[in-house]
Amino acid sequence: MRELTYSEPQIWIAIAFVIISALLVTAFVAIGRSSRREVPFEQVKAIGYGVRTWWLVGLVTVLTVGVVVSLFMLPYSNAQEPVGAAQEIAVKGGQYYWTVAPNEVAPGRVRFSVTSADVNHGLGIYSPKGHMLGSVQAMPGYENELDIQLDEPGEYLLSCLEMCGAGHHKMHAILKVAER
Amino acid sequence: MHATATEVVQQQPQTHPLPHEQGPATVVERRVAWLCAGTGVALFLVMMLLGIAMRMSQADLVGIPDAWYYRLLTLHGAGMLVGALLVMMGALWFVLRPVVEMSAKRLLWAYGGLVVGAVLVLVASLVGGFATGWTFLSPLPFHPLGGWATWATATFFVGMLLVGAGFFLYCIELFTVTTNRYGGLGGALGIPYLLGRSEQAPPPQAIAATVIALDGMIASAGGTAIVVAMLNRTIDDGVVINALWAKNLTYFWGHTIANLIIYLAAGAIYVLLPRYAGRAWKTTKPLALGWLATLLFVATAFSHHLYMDFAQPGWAQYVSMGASSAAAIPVAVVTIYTGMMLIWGSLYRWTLASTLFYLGFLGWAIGGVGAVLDSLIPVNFTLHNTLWVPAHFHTYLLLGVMMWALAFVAHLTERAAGRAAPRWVAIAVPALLVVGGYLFVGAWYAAGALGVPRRYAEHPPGTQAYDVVGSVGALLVLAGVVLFLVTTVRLLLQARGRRAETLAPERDPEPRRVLVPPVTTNAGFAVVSGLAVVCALSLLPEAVELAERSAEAHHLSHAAQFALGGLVGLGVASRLALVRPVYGGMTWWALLAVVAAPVVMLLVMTPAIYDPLEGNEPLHLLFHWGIVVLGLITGWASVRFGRASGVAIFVLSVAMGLAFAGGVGG
Ligand code: HEM
Ligand SMILES: [Cu+2]
Repeated sequence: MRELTYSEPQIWIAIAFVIISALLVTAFVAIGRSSRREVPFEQVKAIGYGVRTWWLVGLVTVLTVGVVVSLFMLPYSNAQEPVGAAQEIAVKGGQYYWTVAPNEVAPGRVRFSVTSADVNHGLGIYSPKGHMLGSVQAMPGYENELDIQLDEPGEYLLSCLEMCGAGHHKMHAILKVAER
Repeated sequence: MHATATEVVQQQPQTHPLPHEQGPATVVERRVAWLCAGTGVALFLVMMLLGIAMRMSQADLVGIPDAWYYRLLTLHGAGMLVGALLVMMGALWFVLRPVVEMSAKRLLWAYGGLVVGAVLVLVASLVGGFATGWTFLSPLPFHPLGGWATWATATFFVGMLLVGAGFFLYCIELFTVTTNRYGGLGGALGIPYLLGRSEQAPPPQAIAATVIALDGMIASAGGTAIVVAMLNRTIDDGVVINALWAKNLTYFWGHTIANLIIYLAAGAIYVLLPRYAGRAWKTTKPLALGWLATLLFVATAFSHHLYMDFAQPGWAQYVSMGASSAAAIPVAVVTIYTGMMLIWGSLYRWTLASTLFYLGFLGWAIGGVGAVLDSLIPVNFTLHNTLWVPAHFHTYLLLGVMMWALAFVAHLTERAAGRAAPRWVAIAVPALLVVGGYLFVGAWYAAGALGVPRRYAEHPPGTQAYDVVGSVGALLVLAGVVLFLVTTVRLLLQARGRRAETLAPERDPEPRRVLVPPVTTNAGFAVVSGLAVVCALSLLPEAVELAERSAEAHHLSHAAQFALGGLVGLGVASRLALVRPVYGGMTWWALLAVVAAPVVMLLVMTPAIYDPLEGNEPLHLLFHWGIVVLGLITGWASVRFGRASGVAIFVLSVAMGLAFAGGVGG
């Protein structure tokens, strides 16, 4: 493989995760400490049930927003607008190689048509700078189509992302995006 | 003098007296708990050593050949899950037995299935070299490229079949006892109570057990179908398994069972946590409602493992995204929140056990956040099969479930020894587990966000620092576990010969309660007869000929013949039970019948077995009637489990046949 670098959106996902986890840890510490002095259970319930309603409302809101926003950002090609002249790239995985045809394209929109010659594989796409852009599965008997914008010229790394045998971590290929 | 754990804990300074029920256990309960917990923790220890070896090999601190890395990976995944299941099955059983009658003998059957299954998986991977990962996605097991032999594949799948059968037996036990004890499925789920029709509700651990058992039975049916299909393909190269179908069933089973482990634990926590907080965890309407929601969400969340399979129907993806997120609501708002309320201002008694119980909640919560984020499809697009995935599930399996497993062992130890572990150990063990554990998973989260793939024997250049940090974390966890084990063994040895724990007298044998058979009304019998007639059409010569056209059609006709026999068995046995009442108690033959007969029905759907018969009319006919008889046995036996359980068992056995027809050809 190659050296990797952090990129969006993973940075934001990780930050969100760290913030929420820190809040949870804070709450746990506070609850742990509270247990050292006695508060009558009736009183805990009186306040706790009130807080719980807001906790429920807040959580449902956040989850709903997350799910609804996600529905507008799906990677599935049929969920996106027709892209017109996307360049087709046929990708086939096998133990332990990729065939990529063509293996050089112009910058712009591409459509990966991905399948497998034998077992399940996963097509992970890394930019020339080592950003993890996304992935799609390569399943025998099925053709998965992924539309993606590849504007940056250079060598994209295609790495297997589904356990496919003892050579799984050695299954890489290069896709070249030409200079504009 | 007898000193109970309660008394000893009470001797500690600045804590309130524990008001109630240390719930003395019987000898049998204590033995079963120790057996399950002991075996599970032993498995943890061995698998943890393998895990550390794998992690250190990624960090280039030790050298493991690639082929061995993937063998260890397969064994570690399967072995850890079996270990975790064993402990939590034992823990839930331990807290459930005082309220519903359960048989230790039947539990031992389930235990045996899991343990023997795990041993077979061990042999397949270490001796046979089998290395597909524990998720065994078809067709990888049949493309070993010289890595393993056919016998290893067969051994692995027989092992998985036994693990599945063991858990299935356990679920049947729970579901049968709760539904018969609390007046059917609705009663056991607390529905009359939710609707305000009854003041009485089952205790929380019984509601949890009902939900877990039902989801577990449904998942096991899927698991049986996929594992037997894989066995058929192992026997006969001609069998063709649809890869998408296989992946769906693998995760329907694998994801659901892995997920249920933590719910099993939650069921046990309902009883164990109050012992340290001094406040009872009672069934409330939110709790009953939460478990109803869980019943639905756990069974429908698995498809998030197929988000990046664009061939998967869209609706399945959207249902999964909704269910995966929504599953967090009952957990966060009911179970974890209530647990925290019980502790708030309670003068919680901080012993080794109770500290670990407390910390397990944090692992569940943080792991849940990592999971929910990854269950959003656009997020999954960039995190799928990166190290983010093991990061989040180790957060709730290692820092949640294993923390609770150790807590349960410490709880049993504190009871048996009549005293708590030394104070410094009660601080050092949790500290090592927390610092080491979060370092360990933290390195994975960071590397996952960077895009490092999971299940890679070697990691990309420049990422070894993460692997080193992870290895250090894992070693700290190991240190914590070793200190824990040394302490518990010492406490137990010191307590030897001293009867520290008051034990309850053995509970009454199972009452011979009259069972309500699956079918009781005339309308019910009419429906069963009608369905049987429809299924009987599959035996007509025309249908038999039609079924020869494709393997799928052939399998569908087998499912219909099995259903025919089953409906007849179910109907006749129900009718007889109305005339001459059947008393409670699952007999061994009934259990064997409902587990084995459907498996045999699926196993014989192998062209290598039935093709030779096709030329010989009488034999061919006999073969089909044999399938009818297998159905008859299943249907007949299912009446022994009472209404809810009998219907569930029967419907699921037919569903296995139908599922099979959906994806296995040849
Ligand atoms: C200190 C303790 C542990 C260590 C060092 C450890 C280490 C590992 C490692 C290195 C992997 C492979 C990750 C990858 O490269 O993809 C792994 C996978 C896994 N672990 Fe652990 N683990 C530990 C505890 C646990 C526990 C407690 C459980 C469950 C109760 C568990 C269940 C699993 C599962 C299911 C997998 C996935 C296997 C697969 O990908 O097929 N682990 N673990
Ligand atoms: Cu691969």
